[in-house]
Amino acid sequence: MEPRRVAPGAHDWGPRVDAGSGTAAELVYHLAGALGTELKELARRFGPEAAAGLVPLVVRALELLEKAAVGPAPDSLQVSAQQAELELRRLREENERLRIELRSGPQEERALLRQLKEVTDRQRDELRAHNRDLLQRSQETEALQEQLQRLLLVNAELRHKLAAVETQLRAARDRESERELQREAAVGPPPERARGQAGGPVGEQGQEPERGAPDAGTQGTPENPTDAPPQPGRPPKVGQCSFSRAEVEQILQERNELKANVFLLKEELAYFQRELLTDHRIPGLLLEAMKVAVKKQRKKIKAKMLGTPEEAESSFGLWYRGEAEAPEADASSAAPRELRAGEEATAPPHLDPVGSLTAPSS
Amino acid sequence: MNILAPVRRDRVLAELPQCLRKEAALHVRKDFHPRVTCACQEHRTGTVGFKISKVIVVGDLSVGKTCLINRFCKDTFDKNYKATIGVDFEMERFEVLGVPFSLQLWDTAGQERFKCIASTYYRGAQAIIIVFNLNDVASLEHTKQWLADALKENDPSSVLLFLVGSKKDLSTPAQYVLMEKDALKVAHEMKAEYWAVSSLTGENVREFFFRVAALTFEANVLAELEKSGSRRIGDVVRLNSDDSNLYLTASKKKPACCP
Repeated sequence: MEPRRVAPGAHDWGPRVDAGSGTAAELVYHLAGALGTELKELARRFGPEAAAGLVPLVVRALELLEKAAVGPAPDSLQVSAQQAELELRRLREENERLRIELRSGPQEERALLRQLKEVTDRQRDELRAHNRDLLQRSQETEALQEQLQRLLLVNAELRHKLAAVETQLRAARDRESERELQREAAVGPPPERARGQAGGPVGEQGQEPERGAPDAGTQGTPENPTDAPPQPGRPPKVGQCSFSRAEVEQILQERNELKANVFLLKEELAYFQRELLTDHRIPGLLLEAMKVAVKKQRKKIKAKMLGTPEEAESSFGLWYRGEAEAPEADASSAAPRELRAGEEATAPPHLDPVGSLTAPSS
Repeated sequence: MNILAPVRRDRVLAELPQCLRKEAALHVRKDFHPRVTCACQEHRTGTVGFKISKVIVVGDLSVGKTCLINRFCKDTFDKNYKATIGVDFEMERFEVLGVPFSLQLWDTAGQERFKCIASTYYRGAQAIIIVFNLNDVASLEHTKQWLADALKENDPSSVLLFLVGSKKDLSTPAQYVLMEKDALKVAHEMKAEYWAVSSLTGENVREFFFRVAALTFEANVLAELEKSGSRRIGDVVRLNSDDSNLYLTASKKKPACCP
């Protein structure tokens, strides 16, 4: 107790003490000093007995005051410091937790937004793809329709050509039968009759005049003895005929090819019509592949039908293509070139359809 | 892939048409060869897309070859005689056991002067139809010569022969019986199947051509199966024809609403 009383004894401390931590203790010491002075004054005035009872009480009270003013014992301070530290840690943890919670809230929201954006993007892409698809399909439809149109044209053209060739054939046959009749009248039964006996050819002979019934257009055609090239293997009657065997063979070959073409085109037309009529649309790539396959198959079927090797280009195909590519030469490159050359003088009317039909093909 | 349109409903064969006379038939089995039926069910018939058989029709002039073909293919009959120049052909499409099958019927000229032209078309026939007039014995006798000529260009062991008497409507039953006896004998000799038809009335015409189609188809498929031997046709073909698979997948998706 002594040293403490001495230390603050310096009076120049006073004002500093008021603001310092030791305020309460200093006050107690001041109070003790003041009370001592007062007690000494009492003892001087009224005798030491007057204050003798009071002094121990006052001392005791001051001691208690001092104890209270100086503060708690160091161990209790330690305990409270630990408590404070614990509290601090708890608060820090809570703070951390709250911060995490605070942060996690917007993250969820952000994820949702991102998902939403993805969905929107995907839908936009899908819409664009659909649009493109629609456009492409309409183009495909147009292309198919064009092809159909073209096929229809080709079909009509081929039919016309076929008709023309058939007319030619019919005319040739009529002319020949007529000539044969004339010859029969002059010479007697033709050599092939020798093979058949009396019974067989009767029917034919009976019908011969009927089939000789003239085709108005061709019957009038004047006979030109020079139009057919002489055939070494054939008897003189060929000399009158406007068609040599080779020519007839060529005409037949052309007719067969035209017929095969018509058949295949009709089938192809039906096929593409079916494709157009059904709702099912084919993607462009597949359509192309199909077209190529159809072309390949057509070649194959045609070769099969005509009994020609698949790769061999037919004579008809050649002139037909040449004609299509060079429409200005249509008259000269028309199918029966030899026939034309041979029959220039007669210029039979049945050849006209061939010439006139080449125009639309260009 | 098959560019061909669907086959007409009245050209669909689900069963083997029977012969006319058992005495002169190519075979008298009730059904298609089991291997053929099996191959058709498993779609192993080879030649994806287009099976075509060449059939030539020969015989004396004016026996009615063209009329016979026209009655079947166009269902028409023209009583006026019009000589065939050289050759002509008609395509007839069938569906046999679910498999598309086409006959190319080559109509040849009967007139002697066209024979040299017509005979150049004999080659590669799978069936030969020799036609004679049921009312003309000579035309029946000539069938042997027609057959010999046609066989010069073909393999006698693989080609199917049909001997067809025409103009049945013109013969009385008594005449017919006599004629048929001779015809059956000839058919037996040449190992041909005998038929008697009338293009005017249409009697037996359809039955006859259906029989031709069925037997030709059967022979065709058997030959293909034979040729491929241990290889499985279906596998080979499937491997080789991607285009047909493309089409198959495409057609599977679309509704069956063909016109």
